[in-house]
Amino acid sequence: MVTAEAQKKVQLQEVNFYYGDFKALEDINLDIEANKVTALIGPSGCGKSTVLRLINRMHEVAGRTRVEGRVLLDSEDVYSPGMDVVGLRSRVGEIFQKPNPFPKTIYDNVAYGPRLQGRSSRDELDGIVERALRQAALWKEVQNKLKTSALELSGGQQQRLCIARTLAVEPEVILMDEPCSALDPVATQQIEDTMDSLKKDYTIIIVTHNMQQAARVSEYTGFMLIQETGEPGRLVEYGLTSKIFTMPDRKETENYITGRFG
Amino acid sequence: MTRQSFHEGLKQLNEEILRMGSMVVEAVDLSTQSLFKGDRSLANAVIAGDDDINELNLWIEGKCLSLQAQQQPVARDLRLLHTCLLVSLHLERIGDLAVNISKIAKRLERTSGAEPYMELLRKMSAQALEVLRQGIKSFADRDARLANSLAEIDEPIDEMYKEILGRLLHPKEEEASSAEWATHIALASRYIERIADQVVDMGERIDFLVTGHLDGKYFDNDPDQRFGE
Repeated sequence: MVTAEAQKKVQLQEVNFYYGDFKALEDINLDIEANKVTALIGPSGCGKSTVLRLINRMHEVAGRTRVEGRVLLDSEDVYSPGMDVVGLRSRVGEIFQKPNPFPKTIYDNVAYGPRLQGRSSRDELDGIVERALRQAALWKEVQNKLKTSALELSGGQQQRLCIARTLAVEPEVILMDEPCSALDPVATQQIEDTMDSLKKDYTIIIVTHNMQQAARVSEYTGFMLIQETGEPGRLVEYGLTSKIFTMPDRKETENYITGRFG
Repeated sequence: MTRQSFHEGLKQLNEEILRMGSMVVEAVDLSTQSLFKGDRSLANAVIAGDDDINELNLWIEGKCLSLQAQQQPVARDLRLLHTCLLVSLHLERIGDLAVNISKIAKRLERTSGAEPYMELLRKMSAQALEVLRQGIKSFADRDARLANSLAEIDEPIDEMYKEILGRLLHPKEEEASSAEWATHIALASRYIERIADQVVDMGERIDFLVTGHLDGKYFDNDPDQRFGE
C-alpha cells in the first residue's frame, strides 16, 4: 500500500536509548501519521519526552547518549552520518512546557528563525510574521503591537507566540512537550484549538500528563510505562485515541487511564 | 470527589441496575400471573409498583450524568456508564409493558374456548421471563456470550406470537372470538413479545460493555471520526 506508507511521517523502529549506561527506552516501534495529532501519555519518567527529543536529536545537547535502532523522517534516517542537524531541527520544531520567548519584540521573536535562514527582505519577513501569527491564532490580539516586548504578553499568548516562532521556519513536524501545563484553562483551550487548525498543514506529536487533553486533541495515542524503577520505558499500547479511551487492549493502559494505577 | 469515591459510585450504580432487574423480573412474573389467574389485586400491585421502577430509572440516569460530568470516565468506566444508562431504559420499558399486561388482566373476561390461547401465552411468558433472567445475568456476570445468545432464546417467543395472531384471525369454531376479547389476547401476546425484544436489545449493550463492539464491530474504524463527534 503505497499511500498508507506515504502517510507515515515519522517512524521509530526497534529503538533503544541510553543516557550513559542507563537504558531509558527499550524496543520502541512507532509510526506517526502525517497531518494528525499523536499524543504520548504515561506516568512521569516513562520516557515520553525522550521519545520526542529522539526525533529532532535534541537529546544530544544533554551529553553522553546513545541511540540504537532507526528513527525515520519521511523514510530518511535522522541519525545517518550525512544528516544536517540544524536543518533537521527546522523541519522538526519544538514547543516546550514553559513559554520561552526571547526578550525581544513580538515581531523579532517570529522573524528570528527566518532571519537565521538568511531571509532579510522586509516585505518577505512581514509576510512570514503575519502568516505565522495567524496560524498560531495570535494575529488579531497582537497585530497593532508587533513592536512591543514579547514578555508583556500573557502566558497563553507567549505560548502561542512560541508556536508562531516555530511555524515561521515552516517545519513539517511540531513536537509539543506539555505545552499547556503552565497555562490556565482558557489559554489551554486556545492552544488546543490552534493544534486542531494546524494539523491540516503539520504533523503534531504532543506529550501530555493530562489524559483528557490527549483524548480531546489527538487522533492517535501511545501509552508508555516503566514496569519498575530502573527499568527502561516501553510503548505498551498505540492506536486510535477513540479506541484507547473506550476499549484499550492492554490491562496496564486501562488501569492507568481509569486511575487504577499503582 | 476522589477517584476512590468515583469507583464506589460505579459499584453502587452496578448494584442498583441489578436491583432494578429484580424488580422488573417480579413485575413481569406477577403481571402474567394476574393475566392467567384473572387476579385484579396482583394486577394492581404491579401497576402501583411501577412508580418505584421509574424512580430508580431516574436515579440511575442522574447518577450516570453526574459521574460523566465530574469524572470524565474512560475505557471500562465509560462503557459501564453508557451501558447502565441504556440498560436502565430497557428495564424501565419492560416495567411499562408489565403494567400494560396487568391492565389487560383487569379487563379480560374469562371466556370459554380461551384455554388454547392461555396455554400459548403461558409458554410465551415463561420463555420471556427466562430471556429476561438470562439478560440480567449476562450483565451481572459480564457474559458477552450469554448476552449474544439472547436472540436465540427469543426465537420461540416470536413463533408463538405469530401462532396466536394466526389463530385469532382464523379461529376454530369452538373458540371464542369476540372482537374485544381477541384484541386483548393479541395485545397481551404483543406485550410479552416486546418484553423479550427489549431484553435482546439490552444484550447488545452488554456485549458492548464487555467487548467494546457495537453492532458486531468497533465503532472507530474510521480514523478521521473522533469519538464523541
